[in-house]
Formats: sequence, structure tokens, C-alpha cells
Amino acid sequence: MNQKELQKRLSQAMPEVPQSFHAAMQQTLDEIVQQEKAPQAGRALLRPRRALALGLILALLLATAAFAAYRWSIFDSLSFLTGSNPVNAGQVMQAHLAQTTVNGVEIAITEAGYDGRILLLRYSYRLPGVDRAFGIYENGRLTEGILPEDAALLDQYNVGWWTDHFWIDGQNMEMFAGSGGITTGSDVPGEIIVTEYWRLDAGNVQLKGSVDISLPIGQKPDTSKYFPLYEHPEWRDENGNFKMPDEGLVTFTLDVGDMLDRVVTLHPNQPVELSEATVQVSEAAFSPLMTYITLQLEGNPRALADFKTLHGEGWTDEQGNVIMPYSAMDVHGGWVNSLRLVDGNGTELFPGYSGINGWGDSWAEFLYPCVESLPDALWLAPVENGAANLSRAVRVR
Amino acid sequence: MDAITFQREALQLEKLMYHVSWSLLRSNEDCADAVQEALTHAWQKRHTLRSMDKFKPWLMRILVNECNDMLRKRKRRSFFALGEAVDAVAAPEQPLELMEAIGQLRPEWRMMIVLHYLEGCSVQEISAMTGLPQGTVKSRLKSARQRLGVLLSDEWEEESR
Repeated sequence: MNQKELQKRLSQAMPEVPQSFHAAMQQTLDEIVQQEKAPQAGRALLRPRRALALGLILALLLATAAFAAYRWSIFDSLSFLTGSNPVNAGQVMQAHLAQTTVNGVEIAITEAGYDGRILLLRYSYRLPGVDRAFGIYENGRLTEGILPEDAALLDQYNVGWWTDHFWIDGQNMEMFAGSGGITTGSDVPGEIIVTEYWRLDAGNVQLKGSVDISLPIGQKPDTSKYFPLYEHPEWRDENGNFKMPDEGLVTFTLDVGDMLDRVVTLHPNQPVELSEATVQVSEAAFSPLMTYITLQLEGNPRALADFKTLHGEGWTDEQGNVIMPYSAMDVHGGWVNSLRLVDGNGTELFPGYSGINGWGDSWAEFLYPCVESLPDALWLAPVENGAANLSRAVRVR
Repeated sequence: MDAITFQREALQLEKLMYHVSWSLLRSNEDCADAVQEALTHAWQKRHTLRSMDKFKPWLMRILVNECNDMLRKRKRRSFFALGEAVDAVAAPEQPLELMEAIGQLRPEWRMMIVLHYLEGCSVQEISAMTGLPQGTVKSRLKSARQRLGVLLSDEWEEESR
């Protein structure tokens, strides 16, 4: 069987769209159209983010006096990632990077920084002739999102993000896995603030020294010139990436210095044999802003067999048919999710905070704020009822 | 994007949305629930769409997430097994019919087969729709092809695209 044969057989065998599906889709879309005719107040989020609460915030390095007094507002939106007031922010972040006016809209790159792994950005649009603020407050606290009708005002000026690409020193960047962003209003009339975090490490992109960052947040061009990209080879480089256009961009320079060298990276690789799996921390990276820990797991086949004896063969549909056999991650998932970052005494560094950012059959990633001073011993240990079980822990340091 | 535009663009993707949701859920009732949830969420999050040329992968990603949520809720456990190894299951005594064989694939493999071979989506497009790295898409496609070949007792012939 080859590709064409499979395609042909699939086309013949796949069920047609059933009436129930079509009706469900049509009904939902009709309701949306009706609702827009009678609008209700709602909120628009730029992108979803993890809703996580953080505990204690520690830091790896001392803050510099020069920046100690500056209040970095970006962390109001990124507290779930870095903590609300990272003491090393002044070493990583830079402020007031660029300002321009496009079609009457003031665009400002207000804060940006790179910790050796992740790029953080905050920029704002200020619409002319608007006398009301867009911020939405709950219990006196600014929340995420702005009203759809406020966001639509930006379109009237033909300004704003127009493609999911940006460029560093002219090189195309994608939205790497784990990246995200948040849009808010403020108490300044007509102001929209965008905060973004880009996991450059997920794309194996490393920055050093002074770099030019070009964001597609200026005047929106006629995008039919560029998209779909496969119909515009003149805008694709030799690797198929989107070449940097000469319009619609706001460019600023960020000096990231030797931040890469400031990241302390350990490779403990001390395997621990548990009943569920053999596990080890393959990498633990400590930046001035964050902590990144990667766990490697090799499932125990016998544990998987025992698991299946107890729970059945796998995921089932409503008729009880197995649609996906259980695998290693089903066996060790409970242990992975119970892990906390603890010192040699079993004391949690970030009480109650799991840090789990994802896991599979053979890996897990944990993200924490920075650790101010590394304890001599650092573990990922399962914590139950407030007590760490070091006998089932894996060594980070 | 206004509601009329949203409606028009979404309806153009009806068949794709059905095939993708069916590949993951294999229940017409669940597919209908998933598409309703996905469209509602997409409309609420429409400001996350930054250019209309991304509408298709944007909406499909929301749908895939919705289907995965539904699968998780079925068992209240995590869903995706991210290992790329082919399931070590013996070949059937008799070759299976195509749809029966497709039904025996892991849902995420099934989705790869449907997107790539039925819908003709490229690895890059599937990556954009699912949020998976292109390497993961390729390895899942390879695993799915191999497993399908075993189930159908039909050897896969590679050909350049």
C-alpha cells in the first residue's frame, strides 16, 4: 500500500458528515451571530495562560542597586511564571526600548528581557481621542482581557499584530511550544497592554549581546501579499521560513549581554529505581529569573502490566472498547504530579506549588521561579499530607 | 472578525472538523458536543487570532484541545501518551478492514492518518493545528503507518512527496 492507495481507501471508507454534527455546528454559529446582534459585555483574552498560584519567591542572584527602585509591571501579568516581584529583574529586564506613532496610535515597547532561555516582552498601544480606560477590575485588581469592542477600536486604525511571526536580527521566529501572552487594559484612557513570553529554548534559539527584535505590531499591511506563504515563494527563505518584510514592524534593540553564561546548568543524571519507573533529572537550569528542571523516566514494564491487571487494558469509549492502551505515563503520572522541590531536609522551596509543566511516557518538565541561593541538596520529592518522602525522591542537586 | 465572517470561515471547515473530532472521539454524539464547545470557545477567544490566514490551524487547534479534554474527562485521567514507539501488539490472524484497523490505532495516531492521508495536510500544517513539534508529527505518522501496515497485513511502500 502506498500513499495514494491509502488516501483513496480512506476517502471511500470515512463516514460522511452526519446530520447531527452539521446541525450542532450550524446551531452554535447561528447563536453566535444572534448574540453579536445583541452584544453582552464579555472579555477577550489574547491567549490562554496557566492559572497557577505561586508561593514564596526566592532569587538566585542579588539585584543591582541601579534598578532596585524601578517597578517592573510586566511581572504583574507573569507572576504565574516568575513570581510577582523577582529580585533579579533589574539584571534581566530593560525599560523604555522604543516608541513610535502609527496612524495616530502610540506604540511603545515598554519592557523586555531575556534570561538565557525565555524572552519576555511588554508593549502598549495608546489610541488617540479615547477618554475612557480599558482596564477591567475585580475587587480593585486589574484582570486579564479587554472588552471586544475596545479591542476592535485598534482595528479602526489598521494597527496591531498581523502575523504569528517575529524576527530577531532578521531571522524568522515562530511561536515555540510553551509560549503565550496576555492582553490587559489599564487605568490610562485608550491604553492596551500586551505581555508575551516566548520559549526561545524550545526552538533552540540562544541570544547573545545586542539583538534587533522586530515585532509585527505596526501598520497592518495587505497580508494577501504574503499569505498563504506557500503561494508566495518570494517571501520564503531557503528553509521555507517567512522572510522579514519591510513594513508593518516595530523594531527595537535589546542588549542581552552574557545572560546565557549566567544560567547555571546541572546534569545530575542520578537514576533512582522506583516501582513505577527508573527516573533521573537530566537537566536543571537556574537562570536569574526562573528554574527549569527536566526529568527522564523509563517505565517499568512489570508495573505497567500490574496497572493493566488492576485498571484494564486502556482508555475505552462509551461502549467499553479500548481506544488507547495504557502506557507508562498512566503508571507514573500520580508520582510525577505529587513532586515538589525540596531541600535536603524535605522543606519545600515553593510550598504547595507543583511546578509541573507537562509530562509523557519518558519525560516531565517542571518550572519554578528562581532560587535565591542553591541549597547543598535539592530534590524533587513526592509530598503527601505536608511531608516529603525522600525515599521516593529524585536528586536535582 | 465579525460573527458572519466567523460563521462563513468555520462552515468551510466543517468536513475537516468532523474528521478530526471523529478520529479522536469515534462517537458522533461526542463529535457534535466537541464542535459546539470548540466553536463557542473560539468565538470567545477570537482576539487570539492575529491574522485570518491562520484561521484554519487556530480553529483546529481549539477543536483538538476540546476533544482531548473530553477524552480526559471520560476517565478523569491524563490522556496523551507521548512515547513514539509502535505498540507491541501482534498482527491479527486475518487482515482487518481499513476502518477496523484505523479504529485500533491510538487516537493521536488516528488523527495523524486522517489529517495527512485523508485531508492532505502537510507535516507543517498538522504541527500548527495540533501544537506538536514537526518531529513529533513525523514520528507519529511513521508509527501510525507501521501499525496500520501490521493490522492490514499490507506492507507500506514509501514514496517521495
